[in-house]
Amino acid sequence: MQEAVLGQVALIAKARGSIDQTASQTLADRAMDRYADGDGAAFSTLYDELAPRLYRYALLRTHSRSASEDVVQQTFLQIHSARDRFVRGAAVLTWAYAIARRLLIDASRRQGHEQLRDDGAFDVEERSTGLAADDAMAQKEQELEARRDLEHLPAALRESFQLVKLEGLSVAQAAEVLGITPGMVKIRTHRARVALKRALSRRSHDGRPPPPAGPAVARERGMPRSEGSGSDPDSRGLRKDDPVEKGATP
Amino acid sequence: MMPRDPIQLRAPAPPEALKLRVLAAARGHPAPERTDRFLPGLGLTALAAVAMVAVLALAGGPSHAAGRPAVSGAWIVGGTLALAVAATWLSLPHRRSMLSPARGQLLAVAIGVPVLVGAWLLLGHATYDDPFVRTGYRCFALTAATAPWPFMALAYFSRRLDPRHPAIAGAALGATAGAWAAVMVELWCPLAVLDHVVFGHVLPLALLALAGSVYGALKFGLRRVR
Repeated sequence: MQEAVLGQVALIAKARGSIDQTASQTLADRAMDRYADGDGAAFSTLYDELAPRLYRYALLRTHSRSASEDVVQQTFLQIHSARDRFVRGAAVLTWAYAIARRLLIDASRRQGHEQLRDDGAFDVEERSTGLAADDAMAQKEQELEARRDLEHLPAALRESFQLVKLEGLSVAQAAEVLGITPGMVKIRTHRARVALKRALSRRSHDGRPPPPAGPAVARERGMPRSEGSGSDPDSRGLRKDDPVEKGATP
Repeated sequence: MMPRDPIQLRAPAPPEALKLRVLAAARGHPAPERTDRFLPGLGLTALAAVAMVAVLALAGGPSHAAGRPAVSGAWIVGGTLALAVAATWLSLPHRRSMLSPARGQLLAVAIGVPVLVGAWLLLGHATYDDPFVRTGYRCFALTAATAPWPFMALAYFSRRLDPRHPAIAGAALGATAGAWAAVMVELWCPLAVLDHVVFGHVLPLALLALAGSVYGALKFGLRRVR
């Protein structure tokens, strides 16, 4: 059961894409430093490094391409406007995420109860045309359910989970983005995992099958172990330093 | 059996038109380049220190506290000075970050500074008898006249852009500026009786934290760039 839940999480985590975080951060930080010093061309590099991540982050929250584009544009304009105050050597990634998060919160407050229109921005892509229609439908259903479970989490838990597990930030980075302590990020992420597990358990009791993401299926699909199919902490989307995994359940 | 490709919840890449829009918008809103902030910051700090000393001198200087034993005065002022230094360290962003410290830390500064300043004064009160009795209007006014100077310097050293909790960041800066003002006020005021401390020393710090939070909400928050 746990493998199934973690497999479900891994499905979402796959959406992180193939950005090499460390390289991207370094490049983005350097580009921001150059831009702050007046190198106008560096802004384009900065955009290329950060925009895909910010866009994905916003899409998962808004489900709207237009709203996400607006958030990305405003984030970059805020960075641009404050470039004279950018501290040499500071991390631009956490700053950008924090700005985008604030813009998302402001946007949702402006909207009140009105829901942003889901324009299908997160529609499942089929990477293989040879995929059987039934399998595709089943996969699509599983992913929609995983997304729904994530959305039903309390905002505080969802944010921590999204930043650490889906966006690939370290606990320290997520803590900086959220303005809370790293310990609190770990606790919230753990609680989110538990809640997701419970949601899947409830669904399976209702007679719906859990997602087929156990080790055998993952091997069949050629999924790397680190994406969530193995038994070691990292392969389940967890970090080795996660206190939960060391028996220090908060 | 044909291997199944994973179907991924893959977010689409941002459209190319968005990049063009962002670059064009940035060109349309010229922003100054980074300049060295250390020397101007140092100048501002020196100005704040001079202004605080000038305000204290105008009020009569430390001789006004002559009725208080020197040792008690040294303990009170020393403790408040240590509190002001700690509050400054806790409320300003770390050296390599564009973001202010965690919300809990800032709240602790905003709430803790007035409480600790008052508690420390009352603790000092046990060591001597007050030379005279005053309500505390002058201490209140002196704090109000002294605090804006360190606040100016602190606001400069903060990033002046806090996307997470601008009001709390402002409150922490207000309380920290109040702590520096309290150092000056306690050099001047020899009284430490409860009523006087609450009205003349603690209340202005609480109000400074409140004023700082309003300032932070107005000035440090994100403003939409159009």
